Amino acid sequence: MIDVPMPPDDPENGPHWEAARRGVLLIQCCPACGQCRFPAVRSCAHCHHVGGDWIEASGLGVIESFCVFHKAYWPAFQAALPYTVIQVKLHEGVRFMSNFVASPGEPPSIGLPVRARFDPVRPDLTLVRFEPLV
Amino acid sequence: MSKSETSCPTLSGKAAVVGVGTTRYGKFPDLNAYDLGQWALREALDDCGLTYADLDGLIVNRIPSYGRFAELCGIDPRYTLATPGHGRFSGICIQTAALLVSTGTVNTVALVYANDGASAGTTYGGDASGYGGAAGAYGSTDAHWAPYGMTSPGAFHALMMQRHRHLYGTTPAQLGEIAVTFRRHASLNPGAVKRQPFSLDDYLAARFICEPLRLLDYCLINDGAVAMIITSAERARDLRQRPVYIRGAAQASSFTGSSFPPEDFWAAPMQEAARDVYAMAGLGPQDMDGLMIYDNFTPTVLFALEGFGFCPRGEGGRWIADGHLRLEGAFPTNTSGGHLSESYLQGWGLNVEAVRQLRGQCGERQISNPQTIQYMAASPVVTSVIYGRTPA
Repeated sequence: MIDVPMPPDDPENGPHWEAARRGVLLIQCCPACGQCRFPAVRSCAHCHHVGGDWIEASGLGVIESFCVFHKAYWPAFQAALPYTVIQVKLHEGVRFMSNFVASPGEPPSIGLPVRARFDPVRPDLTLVRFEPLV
Repeated sequence: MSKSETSCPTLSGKAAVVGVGTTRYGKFPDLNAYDLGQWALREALDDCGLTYADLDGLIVNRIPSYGRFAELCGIDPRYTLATPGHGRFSGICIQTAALLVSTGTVNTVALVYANDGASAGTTYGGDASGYGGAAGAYGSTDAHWAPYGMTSPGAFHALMMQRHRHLYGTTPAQLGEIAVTFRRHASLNPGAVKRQPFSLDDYLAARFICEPLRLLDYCLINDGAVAMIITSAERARDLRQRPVYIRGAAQASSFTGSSFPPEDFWAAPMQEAARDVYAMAGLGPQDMDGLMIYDNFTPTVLFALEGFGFCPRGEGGRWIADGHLRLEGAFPTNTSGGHLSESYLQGWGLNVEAVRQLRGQCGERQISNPQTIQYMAASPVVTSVIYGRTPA
């Protein structure tokens, strides 16, 4: 376990991180037009309705792209090099930057179906990572 | 109400670049951004023969305080504008200066860019302090993804490049041709920071920073400053240098969803900006004698060539590998060495290079008798400027 940097202490996104600790993936959805969004913001960029509802996402998505860090921009990641970041599009239409968790020798690939998993990395932080669907 | 057919078609040929000034590039710990900016501005005024008293417009980029800068220069412009240190703003500032001059709002604008990033220890990744993060430039929600290790404009472009490779089969060697070509150009530029040519094998052997991008896909962080003096076409005729006319200037944007890499590699805003800038200039891609392409990372060059229509979508890698960007090629590109090898000057150095090429001042790296040169930058704000030796 590495001492990763914490996300901003942002009341808008507090419910997402709190739910992740319980193994639930919450994203935001516009009650007026139904468009999902994440990270959470106060109003909908699509229909401009003010306010949003939290909904439980399927956790299912597809890898859109990935990259492999060979440089640690935070000391905490030095020991993890090289590490992979994936860009995932959830079925609900929102995107996520995350990490790929799979058996050794199973690299991420574009188009690969994935599902969310919940990894506690610090006592106060659980990350939403993704693993192959099958 | 929808957007107008084209953006300000009457701008063409009404403003001209009359003075350009550049500092040396490298590490100057004894000089701050104000010192560097004043150095470049002195050079630009010397270049055209104008004085501080002639400046009635001031546009600064990446200089911490516009007020302090104007105070240090002893000028009281009737129009002042300060812009953030994102590279897309060089094109925006030049477009704005052309608009100010062509509408008669001001007579003569000084544009001054200064970057003390090397001495200030800028890193472009990690904690989003100052210019350290991608925040606000690429991936405006990047702090949210920090626990996952996602950070830096380089990684943002690495994600895009991975998709381009997947969709179109673009190869590392095709991308490497960009880095190799610009370094060869820099070897002919006495002002470039990196002048030692390297081979494609050297490129491929360079370490990864954020895979698929290697060290030589990244630009160079240095200290340096650039200034341009833009005035009306009428005033430009009587000055020290041959005027270089702004034949077209346009921008377009794609902010919606821009916290994440764009699915289309910014093709939609580039097509919009291309349509506007070519219509304004009455020219097309085939008319360009040289290109200056924003090269924070090599993939940006690839995306720009496809987006502005120099080659079909997805064909950029093969097109580049054919050698079109070389000094002896059909579209000599970034003849200064660009951000990859001259220095990272956030578009300003490339715009000055366009001017110097059209004046015929580029020595060993001179393009043969160029008439028109296009600057273009791909990012959530796309900008383009077409420069010409003649106003029409």
